[in-house]
Amino acid sequence: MVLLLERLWQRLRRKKETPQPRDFDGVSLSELLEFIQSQDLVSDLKENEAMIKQALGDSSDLTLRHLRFGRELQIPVLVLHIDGMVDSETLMNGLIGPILGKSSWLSEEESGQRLSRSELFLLMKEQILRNSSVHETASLDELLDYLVRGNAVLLMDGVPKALACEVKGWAERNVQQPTTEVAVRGPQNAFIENRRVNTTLLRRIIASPLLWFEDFKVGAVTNTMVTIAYIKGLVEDSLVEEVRERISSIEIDAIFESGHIEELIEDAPYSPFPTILRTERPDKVAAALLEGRVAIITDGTPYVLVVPVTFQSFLTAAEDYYERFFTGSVVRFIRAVAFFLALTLPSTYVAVTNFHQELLPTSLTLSIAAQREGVPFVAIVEALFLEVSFELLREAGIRLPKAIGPAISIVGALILGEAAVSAGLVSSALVIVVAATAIASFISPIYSMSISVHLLRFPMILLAGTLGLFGVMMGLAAILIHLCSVRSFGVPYLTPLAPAVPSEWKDTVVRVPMWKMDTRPKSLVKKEFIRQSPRQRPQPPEQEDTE
Amino acid sequence: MTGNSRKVLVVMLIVISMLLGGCWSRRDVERLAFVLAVAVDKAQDPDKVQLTVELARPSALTATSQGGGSLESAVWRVSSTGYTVFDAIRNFASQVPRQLFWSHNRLIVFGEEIAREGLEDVLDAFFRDPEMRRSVKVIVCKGDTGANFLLVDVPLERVLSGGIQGIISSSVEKLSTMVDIGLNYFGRALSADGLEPIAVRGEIIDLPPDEDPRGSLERTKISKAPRITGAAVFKGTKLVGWLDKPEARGFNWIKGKIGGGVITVEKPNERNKFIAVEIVRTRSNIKTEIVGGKPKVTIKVECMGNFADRENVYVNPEGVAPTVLSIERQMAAVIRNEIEAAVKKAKEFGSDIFGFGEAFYRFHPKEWKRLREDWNDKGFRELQVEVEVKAMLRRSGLIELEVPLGK
Amino acid sequence: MAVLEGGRISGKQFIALAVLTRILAALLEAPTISGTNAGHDVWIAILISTFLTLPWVFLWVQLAKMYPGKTIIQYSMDILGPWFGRLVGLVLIVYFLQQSAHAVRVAADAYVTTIMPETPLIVFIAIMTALSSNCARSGLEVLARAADIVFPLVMFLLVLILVLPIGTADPLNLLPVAAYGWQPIFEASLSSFAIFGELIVMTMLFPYLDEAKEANRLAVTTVLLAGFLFTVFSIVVALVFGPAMGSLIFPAFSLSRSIEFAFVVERVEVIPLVAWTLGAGVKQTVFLWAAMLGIAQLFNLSEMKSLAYPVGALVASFSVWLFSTIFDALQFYTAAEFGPLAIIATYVISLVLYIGALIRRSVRSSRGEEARP
Repeated sequence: MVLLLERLWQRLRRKKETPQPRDFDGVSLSELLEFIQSQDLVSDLKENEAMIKQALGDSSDLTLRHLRFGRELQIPVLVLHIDGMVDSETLMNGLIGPILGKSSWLSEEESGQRLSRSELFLLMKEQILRNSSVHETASLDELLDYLVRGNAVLLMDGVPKALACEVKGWAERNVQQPTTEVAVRGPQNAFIENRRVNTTLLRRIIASPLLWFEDFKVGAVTNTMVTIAYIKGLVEDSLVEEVRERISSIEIDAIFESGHIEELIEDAPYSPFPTILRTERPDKVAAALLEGRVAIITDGTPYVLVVPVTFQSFLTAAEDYYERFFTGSVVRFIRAVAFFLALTLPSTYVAVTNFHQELLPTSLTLSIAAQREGVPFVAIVEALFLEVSFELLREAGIRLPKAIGPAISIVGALILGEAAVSAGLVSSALVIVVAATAIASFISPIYSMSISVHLLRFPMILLAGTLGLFGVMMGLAAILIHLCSVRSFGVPYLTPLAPAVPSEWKDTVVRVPMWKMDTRPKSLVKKEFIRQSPRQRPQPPEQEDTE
Repeated sequence: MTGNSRKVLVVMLIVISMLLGGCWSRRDVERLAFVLAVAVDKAQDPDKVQLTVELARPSALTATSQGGGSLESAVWRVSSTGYTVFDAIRNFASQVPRQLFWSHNRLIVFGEEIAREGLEDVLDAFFRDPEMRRSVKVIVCKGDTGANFLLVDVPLERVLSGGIQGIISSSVEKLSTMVDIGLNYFGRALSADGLEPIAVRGEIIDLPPDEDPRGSLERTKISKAPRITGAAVFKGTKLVGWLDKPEARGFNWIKGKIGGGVITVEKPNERNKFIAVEIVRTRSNIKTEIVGGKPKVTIKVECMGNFADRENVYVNPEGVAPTVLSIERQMAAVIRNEIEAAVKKAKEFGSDIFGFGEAFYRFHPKEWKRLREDWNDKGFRELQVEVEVKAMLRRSGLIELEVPLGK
Repeated sequence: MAVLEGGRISGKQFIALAVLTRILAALLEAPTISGTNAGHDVWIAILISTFLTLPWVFLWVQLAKMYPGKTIIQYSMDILGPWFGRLVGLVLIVYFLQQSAHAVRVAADAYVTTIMPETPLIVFIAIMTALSSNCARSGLEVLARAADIVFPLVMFLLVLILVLPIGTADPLNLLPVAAYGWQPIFEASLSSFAIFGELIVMTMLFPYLDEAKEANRLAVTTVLLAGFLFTVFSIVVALVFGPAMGSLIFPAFSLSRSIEFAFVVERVEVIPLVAWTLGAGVKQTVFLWAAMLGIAQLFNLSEMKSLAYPVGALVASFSVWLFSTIFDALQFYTAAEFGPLAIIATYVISLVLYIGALIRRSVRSSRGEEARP
């Protein structure tokens, strides 16, 4: 009996052992990945070379350089890198130069008899190579990973290990002005596609050892690096743990943009409202970190995610804090009004013209009636038609080359709008309403929120067209209930308002002066609640009257 | 998966059902006929009531802004009859291609004949229907039908109702010789104990002659013009008589509803030369007492005025202070006369339009139980009314009271 | 047993919820107390009934303290035994369902009467019930958060409704006090007392209160705030309409129609509609939630989420079936209609429970301490 079990166990184990594909043709991706992971480096340089070549399929950008190390020893050494991903000068000065140069002229004692190959390997790593970072690895998988991330890899004959040297250098966009979150006042730099540059930008704002970064590798094929950033001691550890868990539970082949991560970790995937903030402004991320939030930086995209966020984060721009607080508060208030208008203006128009003609002053009602007299469609069709054509216009304006963009807006806005009104296809009152709505909907500083408002307008118009103001109200109530039930990483979405947290009201629809912002958000920070000394109102000394 | 597709199905069903059946109360704004004024008269058939409405023509009304003055009429007047008001309203459907819409109605005009017979049969619809506004003005057309009143024009305005409304509001501010009564007040007076309704009195004037030349425009072109000339006194729902302009102002003095106006007094020591005093601020107070078992009302009125203009240049040798005093005394006399005239008229009609009965009900509820039985016909007619008027002259404009011009 | 309702609410949310359930009554029933003859003296009746309600509030809080963490459904079973307790619980659940139905029915009727006469009543009822079932399903916390937002909004609207018509108000309309004797006022105050009975829903909320010690203060605040709202409303309605106020079906609506206010939007009658739709929605949802929780506790169910839509459907059909005309719905609390029944379902039952609880306690203490674990 026991014997039988043992045999079965062995058979199972044998089955678990990876296949050894001699030829990669006809083998699936996951099997190949599994195969590569199972391989370890061997002592023989030739065999290693063959292994690497096989794994990379002898790709054309793989560059090999055979060297011999030591004037007397003449040990065969292989240096590999991916062409285009390395800075050749660094490669020359840090790696190839020292190996071929005088430093490799080892003394009598060192060469040959005294030192074994592995000791020589260590010597190479610790004394000869001049690169800023040198990692040792024994697995093929890791070696390849270093290689495709722009490191040069050094293999030495007789040692089953490799050294990965930091020689990265490739063509990249410089740090530029933000394109989607423009500020008149405030820092003018934005994140770029390089994760390392992005962390640097953050580090330069928050020069504190407690700004911690943690790396994750996400995507089975793309192996995208994702970094989470937080301020240790300020952030709730449970939140960091939650973020870690959600990111490491992602199992996907590819991550191209933070949007992929956003969709995979957000709380309310069916919600029209975003529960994760994305921004390209380092100052905004830094401010969020200091409020006890966590940032998620994805390699390859300038958009950084911030969690958790609440509804009002989407009506907030960094500049609100840079301008004086009156300006900030007024702008905040206008944004709140604009959000509401964008959501309800067209539907209210439809409701009023179709159901509640008694609500407007007589002259206005008669004027709308006169305009509508020639229009062949019912108001709801008219409104939907105009809204859809506006969406078309918007989309066309974004996708077109920059040179043609203005032409579209002229054709669309001026010619189409004017012609449609004068041809009696739509009433000019509705054109005004739609235009005002469009302007209002773009007031949200975060584009993703604008889009959700755009989308919600359509069901609102339908509701208004069927049930009038009752429909509008029910639509708003449904949105409200939904917003109340959504959470973002444990924080209720409408937080400072519902549940009411009076200590956070200072930074919602109004923005109180800087010297009044004494506390951090209670809903996020529990350990280090006090932000600043409470008595900081500037009190200039009283001027003595001088004659 | 099944859960999701079921959810989608439910949402789809809701959306579709809403789109299919969900247009019950929908009415396009351009498919409505906006009623701006309505006249209620007796029809030829004695059982029936005749409604005449002034409907707005939106395209003609707003055309002026685009293409100069359109000569098209901005309104359309149309009549219909029915056994009740609601019946008559529905009967419009056979001649008006659009649905009548009442929320923008501003005037209800009653013909004298139907008002004399009583409005109890026609008023209900105006209170019950949620489309009807409580702020519409209630007008009774003296000596004519309401329909004819709707046929005249106020040339300054595109629609008659706007014109009448303008006249009412401007006379409230400038003259106070008429009453400004909405359906709200009318209804309240009908249901209140010890308060009788009153309404705006309208008249159609043939031009010329015109006994009061103020405000007549383009006399050559129009032959008939509407006038707001005082008040219509009701007893219950029946019209019982009219108040002329001074009496209507007397009513306003008592009710404290003077918005402005002019008191003309004779100059001291000079006959047929007048001084006009502009009313600036007034206050009134009704005090009720029971004296010896009999009700007594004291009306206290305070009036402040500014010297507006005068006929003839005149210097009173006695100086400014006596002049002011004498003008003030005359003002008080004018006010007292107006009030007493109004009370006298109302007593003649046996209709307590001032709400003296209501005041007794409020301050002497026990005695009121005894009084209310035949209040209008006995108690009110025998009511002792005392008037105390205090008039003051405050300012005299940019120049002195006495300007020695020409001397 | 699994936790039926995991939510906690703060004191502020408690007040917001409890007061919001009173808004509908403040706008519709309280100003005139339909079906009674108190006329412009209704405000006195309301004041009387407010103070009549206070002892019962203390009683409810006392019961909640004796049975911490338990709703009235649960401790009625503890006090009266499983069978009588269940019967009482059933009566209360029917009362909750009826209240929920009443709220949605009145709101729907208001829409049909005032602005959308051709739309079938059932459409309004169905949509409102669907929304409120959805909200009740999400639990008490979501409901409380929604109340947090709705409460200031509704208060703002109420202030608008109250302040804007001030131009047409006549202070003399309140005189004379009690012209027709005190009897109609007392009758009206009994009706108003029955209206206040709705506050018994607080006994379902107490166990979920964050600050259980504050329960007394919160409950009294709620009653006084609601009483204040009722009183102010009925005074303003009396000031504006005077003797005519008795004939108004929707006083708040008529109030806003009497506003003559030159502004961009000339007609502000939407304001009371918005306010009472929100009030009705919250009231419907709170009572729906209470009924769901009650049913789950009565029958020892392990979860209550799946009850939301069936109970919602029950409420919707109740609201159609319970009242045949608008007068039934509005005069619900008069002696001729369900007023006495409502008083029994709320006050009498809670008094019985309280006495029972006292007896239990004294029996337990006389038996000695060994009964206690």
